[in-house]
Amino acid sequence: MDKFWYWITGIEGIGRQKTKLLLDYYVTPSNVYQEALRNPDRILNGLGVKDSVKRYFVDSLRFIDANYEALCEKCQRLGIKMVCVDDDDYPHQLKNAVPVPYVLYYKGKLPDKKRPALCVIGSRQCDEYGMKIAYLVSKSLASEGVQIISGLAMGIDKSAHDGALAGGDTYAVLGCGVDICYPPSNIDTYMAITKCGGIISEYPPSSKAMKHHFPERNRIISGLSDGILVVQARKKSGSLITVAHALEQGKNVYVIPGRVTDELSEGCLNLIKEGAKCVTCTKDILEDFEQYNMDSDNCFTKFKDNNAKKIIENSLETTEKIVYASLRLESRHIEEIRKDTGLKLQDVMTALLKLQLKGYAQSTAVNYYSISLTNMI
Amino acid sequence: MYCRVDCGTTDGIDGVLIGVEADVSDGLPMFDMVGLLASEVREAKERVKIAIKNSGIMIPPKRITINLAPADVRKSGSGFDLPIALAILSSLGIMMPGWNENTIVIGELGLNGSVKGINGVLPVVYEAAKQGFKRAIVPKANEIEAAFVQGIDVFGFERLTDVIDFFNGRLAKEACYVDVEEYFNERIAGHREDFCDVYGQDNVKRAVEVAVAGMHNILIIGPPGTGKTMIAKRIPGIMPSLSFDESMRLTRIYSVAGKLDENEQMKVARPFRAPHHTITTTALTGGGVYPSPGEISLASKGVLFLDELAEFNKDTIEILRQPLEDGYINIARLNKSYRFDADFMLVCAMNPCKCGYYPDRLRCRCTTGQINKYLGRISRPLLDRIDICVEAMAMDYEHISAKKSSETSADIKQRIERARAVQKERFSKKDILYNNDMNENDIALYCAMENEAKDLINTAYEKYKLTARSYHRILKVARTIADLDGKKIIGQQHIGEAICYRGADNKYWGNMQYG
Repeated sequence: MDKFWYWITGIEGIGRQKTKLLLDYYVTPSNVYQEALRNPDRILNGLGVKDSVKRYFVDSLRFIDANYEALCEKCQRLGIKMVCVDDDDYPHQLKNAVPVPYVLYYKGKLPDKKRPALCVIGSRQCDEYGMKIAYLVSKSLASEGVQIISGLAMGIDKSAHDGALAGGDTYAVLGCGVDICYPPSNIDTYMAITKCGGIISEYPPSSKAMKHHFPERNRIISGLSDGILVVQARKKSGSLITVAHALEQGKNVYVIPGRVTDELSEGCLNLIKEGAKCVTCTKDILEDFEQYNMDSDNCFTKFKDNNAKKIIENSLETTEKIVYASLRLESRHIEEIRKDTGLKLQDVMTALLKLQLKGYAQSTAVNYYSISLTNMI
Repeated sequence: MYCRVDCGTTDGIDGVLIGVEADVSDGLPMFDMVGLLASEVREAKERVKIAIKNSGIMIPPKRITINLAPADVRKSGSGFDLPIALAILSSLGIMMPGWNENTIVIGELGLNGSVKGINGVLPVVYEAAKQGFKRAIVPKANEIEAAFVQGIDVFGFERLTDVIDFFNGRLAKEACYVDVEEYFNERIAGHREDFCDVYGQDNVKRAVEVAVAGMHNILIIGPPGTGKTMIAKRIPGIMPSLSFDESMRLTRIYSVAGKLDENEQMKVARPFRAPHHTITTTALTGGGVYPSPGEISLASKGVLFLDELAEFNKDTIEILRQPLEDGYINIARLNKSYRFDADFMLVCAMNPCKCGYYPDRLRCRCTTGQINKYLGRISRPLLDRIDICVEAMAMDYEHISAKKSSETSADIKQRIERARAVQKERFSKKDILYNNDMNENDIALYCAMENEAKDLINTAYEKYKLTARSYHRILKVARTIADLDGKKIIGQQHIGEAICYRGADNKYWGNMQYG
């Protein structure tokens, strides 16, 4: 039975929409196969495909067993697991996605059906505020047992994965084969996810990342999750496509607000206006998942423990305290810090260095500094 | 009759003395020139003949032979016209015998008998003075330039007839005299660009001050229009004034390159060279079949400013590595290797990313990959030679309109001179001048630290996984900061500031990391 699923999704030139047409009519892929053997022209003419695709289609009928074996062998070699829509462990939530991803390839594991999953998305071009919030909220939710799903893109996606890895497990849905890390710069995160979570894709191993794959994989991202959290999105961000998918699939939409003047958050603020839930602490999301007790006041923007702040401040010298007080989540230039504190440049530099060495501050670019995250939550 | 006139040409930036021999004898009328001549020298024949004729002197139809000795040195340049003409006239008996004793002659002739200015007069006159010549005959245009050489009388002329009249006693003329001190003072006072014009950017100004004090190379990063170029242009103004010897050496380079102008016959101000980023390797290093100095040599004792560092051709920038280490550049040719000074302070400026606004994410739409790629264009070996890296902040209206009076260049210069004096004393027994020149042994010897400072740098060493090289660089910069502070022992605030200027080897070099 399986092999028919891999057959029908692996024919070059017959995409998702055409496959859906066939399955709508013939119900199962094996029916399609039987019909194709009997009368291939009927199917192909109905689909209206090119001659080259026709030839490929007829070949694929002949080599169905060999192709399937080769695919299985390849996946085994690369440590990739396969699951198709009829299997028991297929994530049932995905059946709401349109069109349904009939087969999935994954490295690591698939999301746990018993635990809630939240997808965290946002722009690739974001600022530190977005990245840090994505990191913090993901870490906070993951440590409460929520599975974080995202797309392993640069920016918000990466930060969300990194944060989730620090607190629990996370799943990345790719627009290429699961054996390919795209973008390559995220290789560290990619490797960590394969150990602690899963890399998922509907594209066969070794498929290259194509432009049109990314909007398609967004429906899987939203399909796998119980809710969708938008961290930072411009007015016309690609993240809004995922939000549209999520709304079609009946998922909750959560939004991290930005400043009114902030172009990078314009899309987020519009979503709030349209009725999305504005999130300022982890509780806002957790309260929608029934199995969680609401006693823990886990607020990702503040120190988990009030004492922690005191402990930090007690361990600092006077100048360090002054400088620490003027640091923000967003990075600030050293000149701004100096103006705020009124200290000498040399003292500010020394204090910043000491704060960095103690792990309370970090340098985000040359001469730009912000609060470090390691001591929060 | 035979006559010999002394003359000179340049080889690299050094002057070489050449003897012009002329012989006029009976025979078929002809004019012959020998002695390994470049084409511009061979063409002197026509210029000399016609210039003499147009000066009202008939050349009799005789066999004229000119030899430029020594025969194995290739002669190039146009300074041979005047000595050749005088040698011929002398052989013809038109000049008073003995006129050419201890006299060196250089100059180009026009067809109308005028004497034109040439490049490279100073090195020749300098060499001649060294070898004991007492008189130098130069074009009027090069008179002041040559007059800076001590111990030789310089006479500048505009016409060939004047030269003849002068030697034949028909024209009285005093040797050109320049009051060096007055000339220097006059020119220095004229330096207009001052640091007090720069509002804000205090951290960049401070970094520049440290860089100049220890002759460290500096990289200024910042969005467009934040005053990077403005600050760089003001750096020569805060460097200690050129000494006479330094000025002499520099002027020789400019003389050879033909970059002296009427207002500045002697380089008094420290040079500021800002080549465009399309510059070729040869233009930067100097070169050509007979090498002439390039931008790095013209920036000697001053500032080489590379604006938009990332836009420069990678290979062009790479060749800076050796001059930055050695302070000179060797240009090897088949028969000789030339050495040009290249002891400049490197000042680079660049945008933080392609659009220039990173890390302001509201305006910068570059992806992390693009930013890394942009910064990655600068090679690590070059970054390793830049001790100080600083970022200029985008200025808002408040800053610009505040117009808080800031320090003048003179104030900053005073502090720098003090720090330089400390270094001079420290390295008095060594052959180095600045903190930047210290090697590992010197650093161990001269960079004593307080215990607190030691702890700080050790922790930083562990935490940032510094290399030995960057450790040494931090210490060198910290030494300079302590010198500016007037401290013998390096304190923790000096180390703190020095580590803050590191950045080129910073792991955050275009690579944001969270968590």
